[in-house]
This record gives sequence, C-alpha cells and structure tokens, in this order.
Amino acid sequence: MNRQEIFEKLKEIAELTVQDPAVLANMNEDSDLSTDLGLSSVGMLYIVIAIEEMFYIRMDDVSFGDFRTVRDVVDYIEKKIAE
Amino acid sequence: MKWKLTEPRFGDIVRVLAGQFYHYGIYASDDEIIQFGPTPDAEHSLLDADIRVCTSDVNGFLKGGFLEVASFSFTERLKAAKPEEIVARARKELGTGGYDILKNNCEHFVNGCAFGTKSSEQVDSVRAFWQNLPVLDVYVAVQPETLAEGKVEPPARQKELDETHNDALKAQRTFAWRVLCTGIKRSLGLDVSRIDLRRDAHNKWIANGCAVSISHCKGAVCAAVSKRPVGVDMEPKDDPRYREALIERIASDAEKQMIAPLSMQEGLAKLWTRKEAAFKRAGGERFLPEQTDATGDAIRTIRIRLDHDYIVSVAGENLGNLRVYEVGGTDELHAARRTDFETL
Repeated sequence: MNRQEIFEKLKEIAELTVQDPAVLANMNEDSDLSTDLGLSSVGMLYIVIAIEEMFYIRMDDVSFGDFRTVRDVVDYIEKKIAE
Repeated sequence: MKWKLTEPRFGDIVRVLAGQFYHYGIYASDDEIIQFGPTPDAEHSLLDADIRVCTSDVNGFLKGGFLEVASFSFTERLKAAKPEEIVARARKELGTGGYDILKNNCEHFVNGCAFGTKSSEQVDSVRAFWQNLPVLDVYVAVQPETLAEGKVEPPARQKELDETHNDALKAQRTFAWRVLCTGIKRSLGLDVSRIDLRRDAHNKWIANGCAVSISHCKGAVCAAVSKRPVGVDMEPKDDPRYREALIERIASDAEKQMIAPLSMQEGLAKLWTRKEAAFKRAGGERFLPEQTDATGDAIRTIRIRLDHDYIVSVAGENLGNLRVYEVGGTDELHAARRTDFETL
C-alpha cells in the first residue's frame, strides 16, 4: 500500500468520524489533527481504533498524541505496514 | 451498569457526554471529582503527557453537560469496592499520567478504582463498530500485455492455472487471481497464503471470514471481496457478440422491462452480468442463465471506465457500501486507487 492509498483510506475513516464536509474536502497531509480536523482528545478514540482495525496494525509503540498532522499518521502507518 | 440523572453520592462513578463520547470521574463531593483527563491548564491539548489524574469541581467536570450517575447491577455491586475505598484509590492516583486512549483512558481509570480491573466499554464498542463495518470492495484492472513471473497461492489454484492450456485464458485467470489477492490483503488484511482458501462442494472459492468472487473478460479483470457471500461479473459494454436473440432466449418479462431503457448492448451486458453475479453469489452446480433471476435489490450494476467502458454487476449484501478500486498494472498490484462508477 503506497502513501496515496494510505491517505485515501484515512480519508475514508475520516468520512465516518468528521462531520463537516468542508473539513473533509480540504483534508491533506498537512492538515493538523486538532486545529484543522477538529479532533478532540476523546474523538481520537474512533480514529485510533479505526486505524488499527482498517490497516491491520497495532499502535502499541506510539501514542496518538505523538501525531500532529495527517502526514505524521501516514508516515507511521507506512512504516508499520512495511515491518 | 445503568446511568441515572440522580444526585451523586460519595464514591459514585459519574460521567458527562463530551462530544460523541463520555468522560468519566469519581465523585467525592461537588468540589472534588477525580478524573483522568487534561489538566485545567491544558484543556485543549491532544498530548497524552498533558493528561493526568486530577480533580475538578462539578462545574469544571460538566462544562455545561448533564451529570449521569452509575447504578451498579447486582453482580457489579458484589464486585465493587466500598465507596471509601473507591475514592481512596482515585485520590492515590492523583498526578499520575500514562494516559493511553486505548488501554488507559478515563473509563479504564474509574473502573479500575471501582472494580480493581481496568476496562472500557467505549473502546470495546468502537472496536466492534469498526470490526463489523460491512466490506464490499471490487477491484478492477486492465489486463496487461505481459504478466510478471511468479506463482499464485494457494497451490490448488496454481495447479488449476497450470492445467489451463489456452494462453490468453490462463493469463486472464492468473491476473484476476493476483488482483483478488491484492484485494483480500487490502480490504481484509488477510494474506492468501495464510487463509484456507479452497473450493466448496459447488466449486465456489471460500475461506473463513472472507468471501470472494472473480471475473475476467477480454481486456480487463475484476475481483470482489467481502465478509459475506458475494458474486461479481464483468463484461465489456460493447461486445460484438451481443445479439437481440439472446435476450429472447434468457430474459423473463420482468428482466426485459428492467433493461428496456438501455441500448441493446448495454442492456444485454447488464442482464448477463447480473445473472452471472447472482449465480456466483449463490453457488450451484451449473449456470443456467434462463433460470437465474437478474432482477431484485441484491444485485447492483455499475458502469466503469477503464481503457473502455465495462459493465460490472455485484451480488451481495450492503450494496450501498460498494467501493471500487482500480488496480495498477502487472508490477503495481499494490497500488489501488478508489475510482468513480455510475450505477446502471
């Protein structure tokens, strides 16, 4: 799975968790998880579990607070899938 | 555990709806709710390091929401510590960090204080939501002129391919299978070499937790992946072999009505692929098109633009969740991008 696919799959997850269509339309790798996507600390629960379940990885060596942007998440998933 | 809008008592587990999820705490008094959350000076932080066991008053905890109080079931009452012990455990943790949204969140914290075991129904239910999300993905690809060397899994499928002596057909079948393996991996996270993919009594490929179907035609292949029985069929939109007479031979009156608004070729492609998809989904000894119903809501027909227009029918559940991905050529089987389609 390449970066573009990872990003698109993340966007599919976001479609189910981020309500505002304008936010989704503008989502890119530079989007800030908190200020751009508006993810609250509690709302991260959906995203973290979704990533584990949809990418078939376990995020046991990282905390979601370590990620600031979508790019950080894509980087992590890309690395984890390659392992 | 049930939740009531009653006055909290010393040692109660309390919660408040914060967005889509609940935030939990241990009630000691109106001035002391012990919670595992962002400290007051880092309320909007996403950093786990800013989340610690701390206290707040009722207003600080609720932030305008409604306080809900836990009411234990009989079994929970037997397992729960006494209110004094619950509060003592919570106070002992004040200042502690180590927040982990999956394994050590605010709900884990209060359950740990009350029952001695950390658990989170919210995490469990969210995980169940994602695990049970319907999957109905179709992968389409243009048949490359040459195929990369290499065998497919499982060996039983490779044996079938080895026994296919028509080179063009063998290439189609091989490529369709590779596309299928890409889809199984991408949509379900399963490695074909590690699942028991086999033919059932009706010659249909099956595996535990995974339902598949493949189709190939001149120029392109497709593969459907789901968790529930699925059938897929693909045909070029303008196949010169399509003849009006075929409609008379295989279509019921209802089916003729279904394809009436379409051109003869498109209508016939729709009719044929729906029949094949329905048959593949159900499984059976022999495909008898005139006896296979192409109408009904359990089949969806779409038009996809690749090198040419193709008609694809998918028979299965959750057709509203259908996603279509276009897979790259021989050497790019792992590159799949979501593609648009038009429902026919």
